Amino acid sequence: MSNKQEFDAGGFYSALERSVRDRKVTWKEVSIDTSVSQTTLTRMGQGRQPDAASLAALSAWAGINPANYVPRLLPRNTGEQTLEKVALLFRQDSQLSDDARRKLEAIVESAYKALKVEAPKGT
Amino acid sequence: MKFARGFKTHCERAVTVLRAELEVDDEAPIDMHSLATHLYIPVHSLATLLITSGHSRSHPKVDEIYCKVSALTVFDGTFRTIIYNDEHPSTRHRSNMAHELAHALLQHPPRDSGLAAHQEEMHEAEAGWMGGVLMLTAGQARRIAGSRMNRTAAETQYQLSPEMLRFRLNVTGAARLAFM
Repeated sequence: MSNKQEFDAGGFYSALERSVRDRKVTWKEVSIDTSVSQTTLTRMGQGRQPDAASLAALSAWAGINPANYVPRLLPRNTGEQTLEKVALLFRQDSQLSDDARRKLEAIVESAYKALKVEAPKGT
Repeated sequence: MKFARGFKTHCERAVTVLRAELEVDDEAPIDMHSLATHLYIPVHSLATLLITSGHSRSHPKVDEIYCKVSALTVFDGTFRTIIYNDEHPSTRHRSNMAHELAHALLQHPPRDSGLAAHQEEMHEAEAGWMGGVLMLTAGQARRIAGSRMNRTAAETQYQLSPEMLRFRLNVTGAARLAFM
């Protein structure tokens, strides 16, 4: 079995894109800072997996752990655990007031409950 | 419009890398469809879409689309697909494709993604510039000027319209070297 199929390239690219937005930099700057070619970056936007060296450079640049994008290696959470983890991240965020944190938690919980897929019975 | 410091140099370098990846000879033009394939960007002509949709080319709305569209990029998340007008002359078609591929290489987001108007304008200007480099690098422009190649021969060799050749010779400073 190919290892490439086990890497969530789309998820990794989304995280990288968020980092680019948050830092207010251009992809050109990402390419220069990481020495990852624009071909590789463009292909990643098309859902392709980067080579190992590019993945390492981009992970280091963005502070992303690529292991988090190998679904097989991640422990499966229940819904409650997911919401608890998200709530913990909001509590740790110094940019959020208590009121803002509570509102965000309510929004996420509501959206999560509306969008989650019920597990089939017996699993 | 003033580009960020180093942008033009970056474009030349990026296109040099691309040309090497595509193994394009220094004196040859880039095949824009090969570049799209290289970047895993699907490309469809309006004619193909018409066949799929079952609409007639003679329908007034279809005619309007053919009049208005040169090429455009359709997004599904970050995934891009390029649609192009197959009735444009080949030199214009290459230029249209180069512009859309430049947007892709610079990873500009879709137009309706909430950017300020001046950022949208900058993205268009950047794609215009990089598209030009994809069509004719500064090195190629200088070689055309240095070898005193006549304009028609240059247009044929690099598959350029007269306007694009003139533009690239001017903006690269090659026109000052030319005795054409």
